[in-house]
Amino acid sequence: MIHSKKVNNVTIISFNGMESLDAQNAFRIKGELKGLINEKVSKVILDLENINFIDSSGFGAIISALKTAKRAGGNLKICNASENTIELFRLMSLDSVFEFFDSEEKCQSSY
Amino acid sequence: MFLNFLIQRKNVSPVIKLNRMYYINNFNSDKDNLSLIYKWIAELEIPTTIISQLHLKLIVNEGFINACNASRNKFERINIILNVSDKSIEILVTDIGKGFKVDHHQGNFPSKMIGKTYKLFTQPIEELMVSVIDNNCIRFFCNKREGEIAKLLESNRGLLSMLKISDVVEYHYSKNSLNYLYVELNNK
Repeated sequence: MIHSKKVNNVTIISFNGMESLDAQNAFRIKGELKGLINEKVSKVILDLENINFIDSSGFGAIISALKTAKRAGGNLKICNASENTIELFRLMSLDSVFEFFDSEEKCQSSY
Repeated sequence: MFLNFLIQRKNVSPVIKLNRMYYINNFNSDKDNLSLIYKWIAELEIPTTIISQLHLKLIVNEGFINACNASRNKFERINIILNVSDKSIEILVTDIGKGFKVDHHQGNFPSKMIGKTYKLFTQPIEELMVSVIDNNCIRFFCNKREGEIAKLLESNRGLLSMLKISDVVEYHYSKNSLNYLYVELNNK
């Protein structure tokens, strides 16, 4: 389940009760992320603390959200990603596309 | 062919032969079976010196999803076969689809294509290429390129990610039997 909160004009999105972003749930996640991001909500943080696996379908949903945020004049940054998750970003050649932070606070202050 | 022997066995693992371990399982071609596959992989005792759990999970996941996409319905069976020695691992994921499409040809490739390379698709910083090895086999490889990150595609990352982990990624087409994705990693 996706959970979102707004702190200082930045929207923080986290995943409760989910360990993977993959082909089983990517379509739904993509739709939910798109629904959350718009011109008024374009500075986004994706908190990946609970996520331990992302496949190419899951990355498709994240890229879609990044594009939506950028089109709306904002950005999408990543916090609390595990070493395994960052390795998956690297394998998908996406480690240079996103900014990573080891805490929500640091990520928030980067905006 | 050993592949045919293995895929006739259902849910039998591991098979021990000549210092090799063969793990085999099969699943309906339904993406909702990924959770079952993750559970199966987590239970396998494959040395992490050969492959990490994360990399094995990624390869099997992407191979399974490719096979699901090639299936006509959710009830076709997809076999996953792991052939593990102390020096290497081979991963096979079967499907009964029409085969990969390369340069307007699908499945059985004409002899004039053998030895040639083709571009399958382009991402901003890399391209997925194939070499046609014989009439029924293609081998994937990746070309680096310059490109705009803004033009990122949302799809087509599975095979590219496999190539970063593996020594060989091939697809074998069979007109009258099972096609299979073949991935090989050697302990360096």
